[in-house]
Amino acid sequence: MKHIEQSDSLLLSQYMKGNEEAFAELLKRHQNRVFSTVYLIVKDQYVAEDLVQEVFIKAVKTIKSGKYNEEGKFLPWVLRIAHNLAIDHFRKNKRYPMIVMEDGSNVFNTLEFSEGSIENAQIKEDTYNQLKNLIKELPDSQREVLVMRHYMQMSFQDIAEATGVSINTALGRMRYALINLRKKMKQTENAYDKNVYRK
Amino acid sequence: MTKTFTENELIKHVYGELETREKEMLEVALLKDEALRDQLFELQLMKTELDHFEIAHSSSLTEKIMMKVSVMKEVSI
Repeated sequence: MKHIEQSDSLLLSQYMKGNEEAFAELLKRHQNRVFSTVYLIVKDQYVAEDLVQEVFIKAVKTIKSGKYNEEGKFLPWVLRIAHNLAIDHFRKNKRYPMIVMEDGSNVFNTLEFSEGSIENAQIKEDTYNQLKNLIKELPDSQREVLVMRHYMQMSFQDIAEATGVSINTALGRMRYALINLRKKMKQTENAYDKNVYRK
Repeated sequence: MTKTFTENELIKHVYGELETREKEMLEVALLKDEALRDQLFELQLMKTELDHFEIAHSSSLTEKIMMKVSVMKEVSI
């Protein structure tokens, strides 16, 4: 039987009528994106997980109180809450938090390594780790644009307005972010190749 | 005459924000300019990498949220 995915607004209306499973589905659908958004701002796995809980609790409270505006889309709305809470946390701490070193045991549990060999899975995991660290190392202004464009799906015009810069500055920051990441990825790949294929 | 494209316009194109007319002009420029093609390729490659990138959270996060949501439901009852 073909599975037809229910829209977010349908799930929301079901949740409003008391169907908890509808909310579980919304959570399953969007929590990775929300988590990525928060994590790339606070750069701490544990703080990000606490904040993501706050995000969804805040969303539920708003929905239950009848203040949720159905005109808006659920994901952009939740992402805005996530972004605001993460920025608030950042401001309260007045500095970037220390980077927590994960032991890797539970960090990759939602990554999909379903296809290919163990080596492929290892390469994917290495690439994931590498990219995660490289994004964290980007200057704040570049990382902010990256998060807003990739995870919050904002247009460059919206990003420019939200961050108080011109659209050319927003575009330039995104460009530098991509170039920086690509350059660093290449450097690491080259270093890896030299180690692997050393004669 | 072929229009000269700025790097920011390439970014707009990579993210699908270039106007149709400009997009068509860029396609013409790409046919003639190898350096521009290389530039665009590098940007698109990195953008694709990021499109597939999401940071994983702990397996208990969903459970924790659902637990809190259920508690809220009980309180409101």
